[in-house]
Amino acid sequence: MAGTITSDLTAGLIDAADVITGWLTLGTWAKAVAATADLLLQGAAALNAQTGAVAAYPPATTGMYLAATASNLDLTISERHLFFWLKSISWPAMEAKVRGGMRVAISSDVTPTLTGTTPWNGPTNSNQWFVGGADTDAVSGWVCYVVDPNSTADLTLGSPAMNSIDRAGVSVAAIKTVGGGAVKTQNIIWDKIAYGTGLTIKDGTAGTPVTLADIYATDMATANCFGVLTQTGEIYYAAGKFLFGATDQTAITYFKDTSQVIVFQNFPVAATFYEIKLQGAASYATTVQFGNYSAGLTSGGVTIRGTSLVARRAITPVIVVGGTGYTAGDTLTVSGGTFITAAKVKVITVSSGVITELRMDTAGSYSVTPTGTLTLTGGTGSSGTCTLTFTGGSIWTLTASAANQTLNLYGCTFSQMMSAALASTTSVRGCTITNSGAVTSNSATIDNCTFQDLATATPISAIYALIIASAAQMALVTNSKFISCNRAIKITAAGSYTFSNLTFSGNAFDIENSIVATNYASLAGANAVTTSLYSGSFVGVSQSFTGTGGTLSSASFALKKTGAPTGNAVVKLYAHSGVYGTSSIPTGAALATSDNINVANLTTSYVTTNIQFSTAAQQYALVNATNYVLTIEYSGGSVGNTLDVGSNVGGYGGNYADLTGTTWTAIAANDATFAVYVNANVIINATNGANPGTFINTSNGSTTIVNSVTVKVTVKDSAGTAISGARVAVYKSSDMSELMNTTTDVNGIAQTTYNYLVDTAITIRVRKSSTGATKYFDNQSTGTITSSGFNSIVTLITDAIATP
Amino acid sequence: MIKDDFKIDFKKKKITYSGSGKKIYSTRELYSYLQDVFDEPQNMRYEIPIVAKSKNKFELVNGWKMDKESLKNIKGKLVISD
Repeated sequence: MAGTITSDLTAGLIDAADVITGWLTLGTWAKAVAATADLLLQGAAALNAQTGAVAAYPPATTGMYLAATASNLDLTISERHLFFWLKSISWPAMEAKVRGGMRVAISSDVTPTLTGTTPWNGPTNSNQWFVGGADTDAVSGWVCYVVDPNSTADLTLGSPAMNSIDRAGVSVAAIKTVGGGAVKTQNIIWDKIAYGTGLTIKDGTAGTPVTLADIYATDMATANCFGVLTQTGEIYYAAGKFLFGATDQTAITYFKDTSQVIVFQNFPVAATFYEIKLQGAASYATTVQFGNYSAGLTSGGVTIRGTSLVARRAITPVIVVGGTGYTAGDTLTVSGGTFITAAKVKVITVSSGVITELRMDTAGSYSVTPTGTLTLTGGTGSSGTCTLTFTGGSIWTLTASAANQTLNLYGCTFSQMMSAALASTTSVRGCTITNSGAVTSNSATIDNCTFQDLATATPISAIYALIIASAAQMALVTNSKFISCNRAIKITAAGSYTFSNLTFSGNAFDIENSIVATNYASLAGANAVTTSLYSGSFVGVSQSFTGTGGTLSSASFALKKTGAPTGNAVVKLYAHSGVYGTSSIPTGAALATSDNINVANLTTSYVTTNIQFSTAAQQYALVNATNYVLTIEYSGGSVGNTLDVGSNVGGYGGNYADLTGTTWTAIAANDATFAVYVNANVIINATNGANPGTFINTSNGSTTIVNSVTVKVTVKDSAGTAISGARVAVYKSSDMSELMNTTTDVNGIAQTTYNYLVDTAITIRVRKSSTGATKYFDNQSTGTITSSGFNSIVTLITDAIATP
Repeated sequence: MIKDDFKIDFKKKKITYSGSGKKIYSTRELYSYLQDVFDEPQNMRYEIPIVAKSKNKFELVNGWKMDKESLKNIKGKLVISD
């Protein structure tokens, strides 16, 4: 067996459950708890007990058995989680999970006593997590349940201090009597209880790498039973951290496995708890590889996934409004969210019809959980509301960003992955990442991968599929698909990026430019002065400012509309004329012109409206200490249908001017509300069939997509011979704007390039009927420019009717 | 010259006779002239105004019209679509 596998659970042993010494009984057991070697899992013995007799349901009977922890054990540090082996051999006799059939309990009392009412009872100053029940674990055997002691518990009694725990153990609730027959079953069995985080895997070589089988063998050795990696039916079940390598290791660490399935279990653990993490030492690197890669092909990939993000359950109702007219025993349905089964709560006690105690009755099964104060329906009363905590679903994190480590992922499928931090030593080839969070490249090689169905809901709450910090990083991402992601690629640095065969579909935005543009000239005024722009009146407003360098990205003015103006306005940058701050006006031709802003889309209240300069030609390089004039110009509209520009009396060093006809008139005392933003420009060059089409600038940057595809028309006669000199025109069908208008060459070809953003319907006209040559009937057809461009052959029929 | 005797209003889709009335053109001559005009680069964006049904029968299409006075200067079969 390769590798050295250790665990902090060894040092975190609370009790091996080999003897009953030190354990404390609360509640009711039918027989005294005893140790037995017959049922052991770990160490020398396991403890077992028989649940108490149940005369009728309700109520259930509850029993608890709590080991003594180290005195005042602090469970709030170092991501400590509880690992507890539990088993029932009579699940149908147990309560449902929602009412605590099987529980992990901790108390900060050295000698707790029983408090509460069955089944909502337990040790004083305790937290209990409901980990199993008749409805969820009917066929389960030994399970090492893992609990985050700092998470919201299903049941809190008193005020347990998580940094001063003295007892930890098992609590059960049964609804049927066990042991009434000839066989007096000791139906509840438990073994080792410990706290810790997971496993550290070291050693192994390229020739003899550590495998999952090696880890499992060590984990489940009788002396250990860490419970971090178990196996059933050839599927590995994970429940903790897997730390590959160490910064102080004195030999290399090498792990490799293929064609395996790893499932992180659905336990109440912290969102960041489940993790696969790599680290290494300078002279002794760590390598982890899942799957094979040879001759450009991947094989033997590993599936790693979480579970149940679409089946999150409600716990811990807290009354917000007790309502009126309720009766104890009422079952109320929770409103909101997206669910298969809605959560229900039960009214336990009332005071004059007002709810005073509420407990879970049905945990529900939610893919999108409701938030805030929740309306309750049903029962005898009305107006009751509560809050709920939603839990369940397992997610995991991949961390391979440390030094001295290499991660190779070939042909793998990852899902429910909260995030992944990679490095330049990471290769991800032929992998599918689905229903997951953001992958941070950090210069990883990513090829032939699919990012699909970004998990935007809690607990992953992802916004991006892939985060890229430089053009060099982007160049390492090739031949990949981004499907149904909120924002597929987040770009955090200005530059010119190449997208090589990166295809996008169903994303809210293919690209987010999140670069925070530098704002060095701005005035955020109250817009006390309004200038209304419309045809025949003012048609422009300007503001002078002094440049301090930088490449123009975008600019803003305070804009609103009156009435229903139509058409576009633009922002322009001009050279400066006049005395700065007194008589500044634009001069000469515009140095840069922004994209259009459709004035019809403005509101009737002032909004600081940002307009980008999206083409490289318009991203003007401002010169330090040079005065410029920024304008907004609009010559549409009419009286009562105007574009309104906000300005102020003073407030900035430059000055305002307005444009009537072709004459600018400065007003020294006024300044427009404006801003100039620089150095946040992203240019996307799409190649090899890449089809990015949508982007968003979240911090006043500018994004340009350059996706040059070829539009080609070949013209032949009915004999198949190329026709030279035929005129070919191509128009966008939507507005008949012209994309090409030229004649065919000697090969009968007319072609041009087109900046593809979305599939574009086109109209193609081919005509050749000029005097002095063979004439042809005209030809008109339609087509679509796709990310691959457009390529068509048109056959012209000789027109013998037209006179030569 | 036919190009001097007929005016083409591309926006209103109207073909109007503007000559002296001394020359009557055949529908085939009109057809040939219009086909020649409409393969010029600046006219490609306009739909073709006339099609040949046969050597002697032509039809104004795509909403193109000629008024009655202009038609007096055309001989031959010319159908004007509604």
